[in-house]
Amino acid sequence: MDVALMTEGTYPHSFGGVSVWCDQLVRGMEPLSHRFHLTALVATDDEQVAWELPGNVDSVTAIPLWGAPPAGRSPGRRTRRRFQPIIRDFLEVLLDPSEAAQARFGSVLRGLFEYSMEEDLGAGLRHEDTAIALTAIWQDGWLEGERSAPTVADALTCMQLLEHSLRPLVLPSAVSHVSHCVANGLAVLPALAAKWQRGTPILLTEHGIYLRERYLGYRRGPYRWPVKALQLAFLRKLCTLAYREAAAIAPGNVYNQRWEEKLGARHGIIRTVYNGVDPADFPQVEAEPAVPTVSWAGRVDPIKDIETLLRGFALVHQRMPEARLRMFGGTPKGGQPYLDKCKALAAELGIGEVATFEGRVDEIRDAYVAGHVVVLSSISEGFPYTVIEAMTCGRPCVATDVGGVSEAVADTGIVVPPRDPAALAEACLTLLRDDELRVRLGAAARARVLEYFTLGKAIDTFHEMYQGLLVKPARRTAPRSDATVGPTKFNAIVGMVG
Amino acid sequence: MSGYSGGVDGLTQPRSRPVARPTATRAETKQDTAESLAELCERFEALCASAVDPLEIAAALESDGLSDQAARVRYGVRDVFALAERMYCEVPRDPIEPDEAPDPWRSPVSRHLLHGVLFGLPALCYPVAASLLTGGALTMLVVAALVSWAISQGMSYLGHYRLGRLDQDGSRRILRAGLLLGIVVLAGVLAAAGALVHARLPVLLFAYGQGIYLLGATVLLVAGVEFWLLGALGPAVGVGGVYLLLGQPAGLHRAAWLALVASVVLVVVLALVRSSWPRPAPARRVRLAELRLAAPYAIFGVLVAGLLMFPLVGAAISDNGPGVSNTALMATLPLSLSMGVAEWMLYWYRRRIRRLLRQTRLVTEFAGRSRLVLASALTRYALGAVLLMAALVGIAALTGHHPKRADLAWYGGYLAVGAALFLALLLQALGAVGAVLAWCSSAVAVEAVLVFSAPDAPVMRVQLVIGCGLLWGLLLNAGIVLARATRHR
Repeated sequence: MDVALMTEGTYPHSFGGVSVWCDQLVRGMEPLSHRFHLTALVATDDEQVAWELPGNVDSVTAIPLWGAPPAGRSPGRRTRRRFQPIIRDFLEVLLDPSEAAQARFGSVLRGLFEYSMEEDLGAGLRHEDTAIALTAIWQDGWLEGERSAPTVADALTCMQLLEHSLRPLVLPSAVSHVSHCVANGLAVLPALAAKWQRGTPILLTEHGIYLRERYLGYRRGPYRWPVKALQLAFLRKLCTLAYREAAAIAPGNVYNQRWEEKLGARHGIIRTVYNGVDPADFPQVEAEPAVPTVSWAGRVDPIKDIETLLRGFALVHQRMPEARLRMFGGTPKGGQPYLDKCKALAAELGIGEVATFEGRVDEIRDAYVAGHVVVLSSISEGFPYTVIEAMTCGRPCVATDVGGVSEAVADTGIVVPPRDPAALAEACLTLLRDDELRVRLGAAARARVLEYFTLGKAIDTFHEMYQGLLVKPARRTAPRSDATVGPTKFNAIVGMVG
Repeated sequence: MSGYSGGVDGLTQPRSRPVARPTATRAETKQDTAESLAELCERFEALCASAVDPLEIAAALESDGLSDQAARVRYGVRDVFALAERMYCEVPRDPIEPDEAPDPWRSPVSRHLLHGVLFGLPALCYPVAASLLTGGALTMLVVAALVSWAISQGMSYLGHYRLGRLDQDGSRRILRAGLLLGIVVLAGVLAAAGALVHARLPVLLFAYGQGIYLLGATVLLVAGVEFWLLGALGPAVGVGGVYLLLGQPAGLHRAAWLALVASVVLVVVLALVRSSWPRPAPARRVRLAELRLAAPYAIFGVLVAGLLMFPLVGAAISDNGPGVSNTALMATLPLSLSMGVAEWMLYWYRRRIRRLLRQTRLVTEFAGRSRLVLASALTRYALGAVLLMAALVGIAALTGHHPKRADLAWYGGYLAVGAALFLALLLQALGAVGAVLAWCSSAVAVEAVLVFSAPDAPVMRVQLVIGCGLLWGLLLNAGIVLARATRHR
């Protein structure tokens, strides 16, 4: 069957965990004869496809969010009169935090979509009328002279953000049996359009929670409060709508369900599908290093909380002076100051000699094999590959209780609270001292992965879900691959593959 | 689908491990949790004060490592979401203003005034060539101006366009292509025109030099090396100054011509140096779409050249004299200098509008106040231009060229055209390219018709009237278009 895979900022234009997952999924589906149409939201129109695409990818449609706007005529008077109530309703719903407004959001967004089928939505969103409407609606929310009151400049910024955000809505998406969104948020817009137009069911997969990440991102953002509030209201309502419109939701871990259900996803349509490891890539390793060693693998990044790792290991070192800590992983662009800070901390704690930063390794397996115990000290994770890969090698993990970690580790390792060096040290010492326990947990870890977290299992589950969605809708006609249904005005780069 | 609901089939879910958990006992009283909630609110005060809704707080708490379990144990609430809602209610909204982004329109005055000087200085070279400027000279100068203005405006736009996309090599490639193209096209067009009006070779060469100079100067200005241009102009300006002071010193003739040639050659060589790019050919080629973008600017260049040349052409035709009057050429000097003021005012206008956008809450309020900023910018430009004219008339009077009443119309005409050009530049900078072309081309068309249908009409009065008409039209247009907030994104 035909699957439209929808991504934002990941596959197939950039690398990273989610892209690896997409690549595994598409390749894994090849023998099951599922064909893929990739709809990828990218930043600008000069991004290149970074992955070698398998044969079952039929087309790649890139939607640049930030390129120059397509040159369009200014809307005429009749068009403007038609757009006025639509955009006014849309903005009013965005600014209204009530549940009633959320219930209306789907219909006002659909109003914009239907307008975009006949008229140039971007030109409408850029028009002076929209600025007038927004500043007028804003008046009610603030008192005269209030410091954080929105200005005309804020209105212009909001219009720009909305115009760019809504570009994916205007695009004719590939005709398929299922729209599979790899993230919530803007990547859902083309899927909603396909659902409204052709009834295509939506399958929503989430690795991290899109909305939570946006909340965190906007905290550091350059925008004033009114702009941040409007844009986050748009994303919150969009994500909520997607949870309610999706036929099935497949989070990467049970932990994600909390946000999904909080935002109104029906419990019954959620089915967790864990990331999978190919066991052939991580054979069991019996041999252990000569000196008691704790190993860590990951990107050198504050989210990994290496400071707690070092503080915890300093406590281990006090009680077991011969122990070593080996840390493997590259430093991302701009991450050098954090690495320097960590090295300084290690020196200050007196473990500069025994705790070593060893940089990237060619075979990630070597990083796991280097330790008796593999540690994860992150303050935020989805369902980390590091943990399940280490488990596949037969190494027990000490990991912080974030995201889906406790689901991965369960009783085959020790889960500790984040930012708690003492608990981390205690857990490491327990495992380093007790050979019998370590061996038993290592074997249990590998067995757990083989049972629940293999790539084959993930592929089978998605195959099953695709099939399940296919039977539900009444229409079962095969899509015509040459058909392009949709508005005449759009801004996209469509490339045929194979 | 399997009988799945919620959790994971057959998976044990040890959500809480016994190892090293912060152990909480029921002994913890309500007061304890209230206290620790207050502490938490204090720790996250900035976050809570700036939060747009409770979910933002929940996201931040989670990323800080707080779990549902910890929220239950430490704060006695159901989960992190409930805790976030409590905190959202507890801490009043008082958003922190983000750091003000740097103003992109802040720019040193000296740079714009230097540009004005660079626009004006070449006028000083005309006295050297005064003896030459007879016969078909005017035709040649007009042809050279039209061609070189068109190419230089187009390439200047594209050069800046690519610089704006952080493509410096691409910008250089465009500039070099424009320069070389201009040198070739100019030669062809001038040769053809020269053959038609039987222009003498020195006249032809002078016009050619003038055109090439403009192209080279454009490259250096876009590249931002004003002082290179100033240095290259040195010989020509020096010798022009001497001619202005001493009249026409016969002995200096040969040296003066050499100086003019030296300046032109120097400008072209420096322009070629500045427009080279390091690697073999990584810079992007000129794209058709880019040429289409540049076309309106090239046409604008032709129109401006036409507007500036009209008095000279008109004067030549109505006087029935074959030559170009020296005073007419010199009267363009304050106008050229004032273009530096225009550039400065353009930046001033954009700074003020940027500030206004951040101060007004309603679009209608912005529209009204932005018109005042526009009027103020135009008045400031006009004042600057009048001061420059007065200064030059004063200098002329000191050197014995007493102004006549009739000259007033010349200056008035140039002032009107200058103010109109300032508005045209402003509209163009804010994307209203079509309107500018419509107004300017109408003005040039009226002038062209008048030159040929009524050759006896007093040229400078005509220029004054048409200049005022153009100014009025552009002002009306700007008053409408630039009052729209969306113009100033």
